[in-house]
Amino acid sequence: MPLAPPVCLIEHRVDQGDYYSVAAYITDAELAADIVHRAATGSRIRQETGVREEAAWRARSGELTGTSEEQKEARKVGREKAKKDATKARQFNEDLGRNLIQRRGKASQKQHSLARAKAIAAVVLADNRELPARGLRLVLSQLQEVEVKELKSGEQRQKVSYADVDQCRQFLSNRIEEARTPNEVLEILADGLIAGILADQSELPQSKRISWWTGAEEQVKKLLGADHQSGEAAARLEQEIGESRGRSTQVGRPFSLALRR
Amino acid sequence: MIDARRITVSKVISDLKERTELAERINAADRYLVSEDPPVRLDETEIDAARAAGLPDRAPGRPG
Repeated sequence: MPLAPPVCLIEHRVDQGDYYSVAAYITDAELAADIVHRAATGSRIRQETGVREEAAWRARSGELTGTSEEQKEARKVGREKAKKDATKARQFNEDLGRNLIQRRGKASQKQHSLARAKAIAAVVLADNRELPARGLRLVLSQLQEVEVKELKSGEQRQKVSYADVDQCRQFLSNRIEEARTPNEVLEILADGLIAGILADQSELPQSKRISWWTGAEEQVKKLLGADHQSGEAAARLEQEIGESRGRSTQVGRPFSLALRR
Repeated sequence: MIDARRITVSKVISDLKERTELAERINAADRYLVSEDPPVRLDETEIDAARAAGLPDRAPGRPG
């Protein structure tokens, strides 16, 4: 009488209400290891993933060509290279840290602060693509086009078009590029943040609203609260807000002109 | 017991060097599911075959 095959697969059917799910378990660790080996080396992988992936992996690892001894040697060389690279990287990072500390001081601040401020602004803008469009286009007339139509009744009707995300980003980016002092850069960025957090999007239909948020909103409000409530920036911001709201008889500058600033 | 739909390399291969090598090979086959500990699974047809035979007797499916 032939022996029954060993039980290597256990299945458990679970009633999920609308359907059944089946959990399958392999009980033989050696068999599972064999499956992994075959998955890694078997021809089915090559068939299914295609020659291109194979070539890509060969190019990346450089270990599939040649005999197993050559592959071993290639791996050894790779490990030695990685070890040397790690040592070099450690040395480079230590030097960099030392240089960063050494360069600190008033002279360096004076010489590089504008470039530093612009670099930080570039990072903020790159990481917050929607920020300028979230607020500035609602408060700055340069980012709006107002078309005024006079109806037969003599009544005037306005149609406001707003700059899109890329146009707003370009506008802010240009202003930062033109800034002459670090403080000016920070002021422009602060305008963007304040407008981004405070500008009321209710004037737009839902579909036109821009979704932007920052995890530091409360902190920004606290830090820049005094900035937008008083002082020069506030006056300027208020003036710009006022301009955009009291523009009923004006026609805003086209975006293209604003972008050329 | 090892989940047939997710056999991770670390669960069945104890030798670190061998494990790393297998993981590299499996990762190379599927660039979109790269993991330090990639899983290999039997697909439905392979489980059917295993069910019929009492053990999986066909080549395994793609990593996933």
